[in-house]
Amino acid sequence: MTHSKTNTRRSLLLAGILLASLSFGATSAMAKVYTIWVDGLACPFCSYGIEKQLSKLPGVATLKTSIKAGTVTLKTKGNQKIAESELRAAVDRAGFSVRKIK
Amino acid sequence: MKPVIVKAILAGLCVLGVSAPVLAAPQTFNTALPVAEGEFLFRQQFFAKKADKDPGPTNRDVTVLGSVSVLGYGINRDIAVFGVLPVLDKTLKVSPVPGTRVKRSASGIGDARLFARYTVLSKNGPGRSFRIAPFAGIELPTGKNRVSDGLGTLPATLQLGSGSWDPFGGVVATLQTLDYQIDAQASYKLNTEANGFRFGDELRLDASLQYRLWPSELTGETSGFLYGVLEGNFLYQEKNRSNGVTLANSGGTQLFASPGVQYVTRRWIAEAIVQIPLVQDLNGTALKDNYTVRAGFRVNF
Repeated sequence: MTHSKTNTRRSLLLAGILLASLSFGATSAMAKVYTIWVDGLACPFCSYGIEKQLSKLPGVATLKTSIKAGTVTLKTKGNQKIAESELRAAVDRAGFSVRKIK
Repeated sequence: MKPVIVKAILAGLCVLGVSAPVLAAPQTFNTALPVAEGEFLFRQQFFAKKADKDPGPTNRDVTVLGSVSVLGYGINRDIAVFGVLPVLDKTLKVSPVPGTRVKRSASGIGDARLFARYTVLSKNGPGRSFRIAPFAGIELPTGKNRVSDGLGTLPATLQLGSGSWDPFGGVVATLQTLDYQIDAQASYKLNTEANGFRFGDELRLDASLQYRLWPSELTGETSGFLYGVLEGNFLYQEKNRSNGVTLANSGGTQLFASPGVQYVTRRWIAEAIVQIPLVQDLNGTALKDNYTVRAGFRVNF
């Protein structure tokens, strides 16, 4: 009886972990990732203005700037898409220019 | 400009005597770099100025302690507006007759400044930006200008404000790369009359070179830059006028060299600089400066 209960608990726990893993994997797989090459980006203080403008766009989950590469990598929440024109406009509002977006 | 050339210029200037840690990306004037639309920048600078090189017989000794608060706001990608509010504590020690020593002082809010800057040229490339931005504004008579003590009304140069509405304008240019930044500015302030006194107009020419000292090599994870800074400030001021009479012992030309440091992150900047007079060709017995030390921070909201 006790042995059977323990097995049931283990099974439920494993099922939960499996479900959570699948759910996380599905979310990660669906996130859109945009790499934005920004012209004029040459110091950390300036990058914050660009990030602030991009973070105002709906659906943005994370932003990461590489000063060396001159890029901002944007990940969206879920599988939300952001139009390229919106990304360009946001960078423009910060006073910089977009070279390309992938 | 090649990094080697920039290093050589910095090294050369240090050898010429500008060696103390002093100035970085414009700490004594503005820059043409953008303020993002709808965003605020705040800058707080503290300074101490000493001037006791008195060519005259009264052995004047002036100390000015102060802070300058600056708030910038980006209206759009090209237009930014700024408000500047100084708080000052001025002290003058003087010997009107041999064997005596008199101390006079004033403290409080100084003359605030409001100005707007418009970027007329912006050339951006990978890891570099070149911008030119004219600016114009006005210095408001917010500082007390009729302060008096037991000896009477303080001299105009010791007052906290001029009492006048003084327009100014100029142009600033900035070249920023991953390794260095160069800023240059020319400006003119048209001083007007108040209380029968008119400060001479001021022409300023400023330049700044910042060179990234650390990290020497950039990585994708770089979070902050440490810059070595060297600024130069040329100031020409016309003679003052009091009740229509030109004051012979006022105005002239000064040239300062200002070494400094600046640490720049995404959200904040910490900086310090020392302005050292190299040339002081002042009229008559006008009081000469010893030095000005500045330190402060800037915050991105």
